[in-house]
Amino acid sequence: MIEVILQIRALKVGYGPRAVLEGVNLSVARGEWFALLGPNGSGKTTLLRTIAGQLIATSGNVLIGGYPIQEAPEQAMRLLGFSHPPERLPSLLSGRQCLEVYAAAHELTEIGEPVLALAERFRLTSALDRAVETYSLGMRQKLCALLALVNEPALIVLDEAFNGLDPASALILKQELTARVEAGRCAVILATHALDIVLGHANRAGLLLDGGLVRIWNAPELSAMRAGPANALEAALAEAAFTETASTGSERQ
Amino acid sequence: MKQRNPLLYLLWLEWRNLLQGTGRSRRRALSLLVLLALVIVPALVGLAAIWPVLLPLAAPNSTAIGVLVALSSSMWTHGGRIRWTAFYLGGWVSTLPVRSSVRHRVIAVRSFALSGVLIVVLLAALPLLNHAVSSASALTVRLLLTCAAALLVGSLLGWWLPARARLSSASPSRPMVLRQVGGRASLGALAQWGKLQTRRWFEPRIVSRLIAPAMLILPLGTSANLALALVGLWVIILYLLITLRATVHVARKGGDWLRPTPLRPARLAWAIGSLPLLKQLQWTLAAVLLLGVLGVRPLLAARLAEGWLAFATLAPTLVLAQARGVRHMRLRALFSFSLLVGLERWRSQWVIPAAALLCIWQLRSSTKARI
Repeated sequence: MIEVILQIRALKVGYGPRAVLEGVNLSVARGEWFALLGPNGSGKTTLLRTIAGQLIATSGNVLIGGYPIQEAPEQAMRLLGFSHPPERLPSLLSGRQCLEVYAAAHELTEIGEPVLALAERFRLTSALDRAVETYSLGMRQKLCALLALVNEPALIVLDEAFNGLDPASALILKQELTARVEAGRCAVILATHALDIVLGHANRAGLLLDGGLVRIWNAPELSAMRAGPANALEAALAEAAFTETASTGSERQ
Repeated sequence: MKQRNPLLYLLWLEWRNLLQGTGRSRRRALSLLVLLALVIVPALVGLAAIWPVLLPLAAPNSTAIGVLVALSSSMWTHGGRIRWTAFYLGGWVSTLPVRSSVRHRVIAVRSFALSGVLIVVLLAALPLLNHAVSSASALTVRLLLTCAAALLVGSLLGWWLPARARLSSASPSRPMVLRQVGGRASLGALAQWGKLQTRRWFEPRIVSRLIAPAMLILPLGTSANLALALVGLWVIILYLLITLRATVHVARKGGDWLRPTPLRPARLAWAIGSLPLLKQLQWTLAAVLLLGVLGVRPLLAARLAEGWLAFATLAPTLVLAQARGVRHMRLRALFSFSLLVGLERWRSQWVIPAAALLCIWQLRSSTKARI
């Protein structure tokens, strides 16, 4: 039986009077890697921050593992692994202290062995006892990924998590996430502009345009694109965006 | 088309957008204006009310006050010059093809802005204060003009002081190796964070600058013991202020950072605030002792300490509640502080228990309105 980890219903989110997301519906199941695509300013980060409970929805619901994030945040957040933007890390703490605090916040007794092993594979272990302010962008990005995995989450939410990572570390992170997804340990939702990650790893992809999910590609469609010409996904994105713009334009006329 | 200074035009656009912005920024600008009106007008009225008491104390020391004001304005103008020079030579506008004199002009405008505003406020306050003590208007005029002149002279001095190489606050001056092994889950680092932040802001370089005004206002002939007590009290007050500032900073950043975790606000508040509160308690007691040495009545010193501790307990909790998404925080803060001020005035023994209850109220609201 498919276990739906993330369910979004008729979500509307705005900053003041300006609506950023409107009528977003989405379900992501355990064992699924969902890639969120869209041009800059289309609302990807807003959607992810709403899923993580950092923004309050004007209307609609976000359920993580069946728990509504607004009504039962503690239960929902126990299942959530959220990767912060690297600039939000506390610069005066060491990387290990950040992990310790996160582990304690999730009521664990210690930082899990898989996370420390991943830090080792990232070649970050020697830097873990240095203050975060001495880290490069890539090192901060790795720490953000580690923090998102501390609690063995059922839903991993990543926003441009591969930006600034060196190719080897990016590959390690992709392998780690793929292994978790394929073992059915979690679902991943990733906002990205990197189409190779979408084609190489995602089971489903959605295009967010002007605050609405206008097109979702399922696994067979993505497989077909992988087998097709090199720019198949780019062409599909452009076509979906064009169709949406044309329909919006004709509605206005 | 008339050529305009692009950097001054940028400055003008920033101010215009702040005041005429759309949506949230407009609301923020309106709140700022209302807040300014609520602060400046009552402050001027309050100053006029206590001016008859203040003037006889201040007038004989007008030279010392002038020196203090000049020193302060030179410090902020110099700091502004360094900061804005770094921005216009290294920020996103540094690659604009403008003459160096144009950059120089806009750096000057920004560096002198605060002193300029203060001079205008002083001159605007002159008729009001004159009216308050009409029998000694010459003294008022002399004191205010001294302050205005000191602001001007200090700013000019600060502007002309040679700029020294300055370490960036973000520079990794101390790669802190804290522990090599282990990975026990613990919130202890949150208390550590406040301590490190206090240490970062309470650097000897900064403290030495801040002690200078205290040394300057000591009248000639002051006994060594009294001078030591005064300077010591000044340092303790600085430490208490910086500790509170660091706790508030950590509460805001930490609250935001740990928001997508199931950590309860009360536990977070305890982890962030318990150690700084202990420090506040220790050093407030030290300040009370020094106030006693300086001849302040014990009851008054105790009341001051009580009021400060209540404020230092409540402020980070309010910030934490805001970081956790509690709504109407301005109203809550206004209500909480008004209540504390009222109690301090009429039922001072209730200030600490009331602050504790207000903290519990904020934390309960944070738990309910987690997101």
